[in-house]
Amino acid sequence: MKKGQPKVNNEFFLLLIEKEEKCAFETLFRLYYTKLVNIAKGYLVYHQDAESIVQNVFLKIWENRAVLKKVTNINSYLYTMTKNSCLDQLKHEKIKQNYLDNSYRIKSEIKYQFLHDESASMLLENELESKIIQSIELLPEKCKNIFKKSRLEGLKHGEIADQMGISQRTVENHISVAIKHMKLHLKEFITFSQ
Amino acid sequence: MLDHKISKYLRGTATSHEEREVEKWIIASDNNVKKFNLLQAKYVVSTLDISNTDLDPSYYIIINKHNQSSKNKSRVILEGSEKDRQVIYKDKGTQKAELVYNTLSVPNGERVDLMLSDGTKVILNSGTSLRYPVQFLGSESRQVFLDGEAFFMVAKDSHSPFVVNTEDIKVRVLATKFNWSSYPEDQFVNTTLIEGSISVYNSSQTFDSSNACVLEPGHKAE
Repeated sequence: MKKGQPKVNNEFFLLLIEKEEKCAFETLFRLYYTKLVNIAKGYLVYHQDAESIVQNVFLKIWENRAVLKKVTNINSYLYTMTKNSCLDQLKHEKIKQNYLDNSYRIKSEIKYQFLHDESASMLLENELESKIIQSIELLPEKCKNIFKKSRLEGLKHGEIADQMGISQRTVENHISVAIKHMKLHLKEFITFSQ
Repeated sequence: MLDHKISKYLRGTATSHEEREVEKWIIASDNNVKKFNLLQAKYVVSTLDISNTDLDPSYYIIINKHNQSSKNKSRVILEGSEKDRQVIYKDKGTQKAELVYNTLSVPNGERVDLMLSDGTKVILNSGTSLRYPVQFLGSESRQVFLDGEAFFMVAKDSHSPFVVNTEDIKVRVLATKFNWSSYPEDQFVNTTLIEGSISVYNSSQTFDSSNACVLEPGHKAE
C-alpha cells in the first residue's frame, strides 16, 4: 500500500456510520457490496444465495452500528462476516440437502476446504482491500469526500460541516474521538514494536 | 490440459463429466487441495470489479428493512433478474383494466431513482409516492399518479402521451424532462420544464388544446 492513499479502516468513517450518517454507510455499500457477493459465490455451492447473505451482512452492520467503534479494520471485519455467513449457509445446506447425494457432498467438501484455507483467505482479504482502495478513486464525488474530508489540512470544522451537510458539533465530536482512537492505536503500536 | 479444465470448473462452464474429473483430482491429495484453493482465490480476485461502485438497489431494502422494525411501512420486495431489478413497494393487488400498478413510497430523507417499463426515468424526492403500472400498455396513454415531488425524464413515444396525475392537475407530455412537485401540504403544485414541451390542465377536464396551458423549456408553472 502506498503512503497517502485513503485507507478503508478509517476511524472517522466508521464513526460517521455509527452516528447514522447514511452517506457513509452508502459509501461502504457501494465499495463492498458487489465484491463481497463475488467472494460469497466462491464460498457457496449455490451461487444464488450469495446476494441475500451479503445483504444480511450489511443489515447487521447497520443495525449494530453502535458497536462499530470496536472494529479496527473494516475490510477484515466485512470479509470475515461474509465468510462466516457462507460457512453457516454450507452447514445449513448440509442438513437440508440429502448428504448422500455424492456430487453435492464432494462440492460442499471442496468449499469447506476452501473456506478453511488460511493462505487462500489471506490472499483474498488482502486483494479485496487493494481493490477497494482502487475503487475509492472511482466513487461519486460526494462519497469520495468522506475519505478526504477528515484528512484535509487547514479546513475549519465549520467548513467541513458545511461541505458534508452535518453539524459542526458532529464534526468536532468525530475528530476528538478519532484522535483518542489514534492515540490508543499508536500506543499499541509502540508497545508491540519494542 | 487440467489447468484448462480447472479454469472451466471455476467459471462454472465445465461439463458434468469435466467437473467430476476436476473434483477427483482435487480430493486426490492435500497438495492438490492447496493448489486448487489458491487458484480459486485468484479466480475470485479476478472477478472483483474495481470500477463497479454503483449503488445496488438492495441498499434501499436494507435501509428500509431496518426502518420497518420501528415504523409499519409497506413491504419491500425485490423483483426481476439479477441485472434488472427495481425496489418495489407493493400495493395490494390494485388492478385497473389489464394494468397492474405498483406504488413506490419514498421515506422522508431518502431519494429513489426509478426506471419505468417504457424507459422513463423518475427521481422521486423524499416523502413522495408514485403509483405506476408495472408494464405500460402500448396503445394507451401512459398514466402515473404522483403525490409529492419527482423529476421525470420521459421516454419518447409519440403514440402514447405520458400523463402525470395529481389531485387537481394533469401534465401531458411526449418526450421531455421536467420536475413536478405536488406535496399535499403545499397550497400550490409547481412544475419546472427543462427540455421539450408539456401541457398542464385541470384533472376534471379531458385534454384539449383550449383548456391546457403549454409550457416552454425553462419555464415554471404554479
